[in-house]
Amino acid sequence: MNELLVECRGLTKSYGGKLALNGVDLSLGRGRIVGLLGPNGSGKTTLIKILCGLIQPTQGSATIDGRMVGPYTKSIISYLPDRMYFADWMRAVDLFDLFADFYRDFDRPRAMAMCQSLGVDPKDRMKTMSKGTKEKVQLVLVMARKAQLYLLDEPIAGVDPAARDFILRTILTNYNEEGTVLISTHLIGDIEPVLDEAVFLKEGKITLHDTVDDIREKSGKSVDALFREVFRAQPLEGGEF
Amino acid sequence: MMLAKLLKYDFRSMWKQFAVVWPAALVIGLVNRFTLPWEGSGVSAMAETPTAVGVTTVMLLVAVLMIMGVLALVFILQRFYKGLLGDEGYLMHTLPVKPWQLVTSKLICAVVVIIVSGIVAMLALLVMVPMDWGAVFQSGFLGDAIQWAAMNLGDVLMMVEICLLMLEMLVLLVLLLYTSMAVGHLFPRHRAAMSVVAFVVLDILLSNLTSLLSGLEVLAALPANSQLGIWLVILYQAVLCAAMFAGTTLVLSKRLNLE
Repeated sequence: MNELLVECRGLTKSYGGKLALNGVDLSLGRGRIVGLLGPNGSGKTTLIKILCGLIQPTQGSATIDGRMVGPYTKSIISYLPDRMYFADWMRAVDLFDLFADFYRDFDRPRAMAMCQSLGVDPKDRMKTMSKGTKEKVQLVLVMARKAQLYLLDEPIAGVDPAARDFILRTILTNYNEEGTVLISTHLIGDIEPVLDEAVFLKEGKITLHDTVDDIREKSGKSVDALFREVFRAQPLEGGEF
Repeated sequence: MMLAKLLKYDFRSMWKQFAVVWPAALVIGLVNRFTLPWEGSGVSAMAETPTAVGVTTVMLLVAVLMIMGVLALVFILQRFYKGLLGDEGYLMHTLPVKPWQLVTSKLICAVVVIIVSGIVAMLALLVMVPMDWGAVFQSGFLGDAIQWAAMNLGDVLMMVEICLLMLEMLVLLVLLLYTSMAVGHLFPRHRAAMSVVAFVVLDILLSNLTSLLSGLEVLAALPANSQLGIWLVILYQAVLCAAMFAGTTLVLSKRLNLE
């Protein structure tokens, strides 16, 4: 088992000449909750998708547990995308069957118990579920695994504050504590209390990577306050917007 | 092992799509047997002009068979495009399987859909007409076919060759669609439109290549229906299938960009 769980070296991704990631070097250890923080369009989703193997880097390399992205790394990553990935005909129980078939670390009884506590009927067809319920099912699928790396792409974006607490609680009470959780978000205030480390991503580059305690000590500010300072939009000179 | 698991879900998805239309085609075919004024056996044995009900049920059968064909085409395109290159790809490409296994599973399922749909269409037409099976086996096309098969029973190789050629043609057709979608995926924008363009271009290239090869003197010199000729065609189609399969898999493994 590699001490470093995630290692990115010079990771670059361009979309038609526009750089989404620009030479990202990142190392993450085990047993950490890491916030991948940056405004919209800073490259958070791109970085997560490269780690999952959904997009290919233009340059550089990424390894998980010392291995290049492939079937092995996919077997130890639990990924929550920023969209729904269900086929229309499926029910939650069909997805549980699928996950149980493909992932050894999927805990079906726990998934059923989580559904019950979240008020989801796993025998309903996904097509008939509300957007919020579908998101809950997707969260159940991801958190019912004892994965080594959880990649959660904007899990609390677009939901009200009460739902954010609920989602974060679900994540915190269910993740494998020996594994690492990488949560991408631009809503720092909500997740700051649970973070061990923070990574600031700005225009495709990592501008800061440190433990939350060190960030607070060095800057004398909360991570949220520092984020607002670093990513504050500058008004046009001579006018407001 | 992983391929078998993928097939399990692709076949489930197939069944959800065709669970109504396949039995419906057979049932409507059977209904036509009673709503049309058959006399004796065989297609020509219509006693009088069909009633309005008879005409309606025949039209219904034609409609269901057409729907089945369209559904089969949509299924083949959609299971690949939406399932691997669309939102469902976020699930499929994060499963711990290799890209070739994903393509193979879709391919097998697509070929099965075409074969089963073809069989269902034939059965629907067969159950529609009251047949004197004893007479059918002794005369007509089926009788000739059975006689021919009995005479050539020793020539199992010929049967294998014909089956292989037909299977390869189906696989080639599906892979042509897959490769076109994979090529379309290489473009940053208008991927669906670029897939259509890729299909047209690939189809023209294949036709030209086939004409070029069949015009070669060395091949033209072969006697018609010679064993060597048949196996060369089988080999040619196998090479085309392998190239398209490799191309599609390469795009999914090295150039996947689910944006």
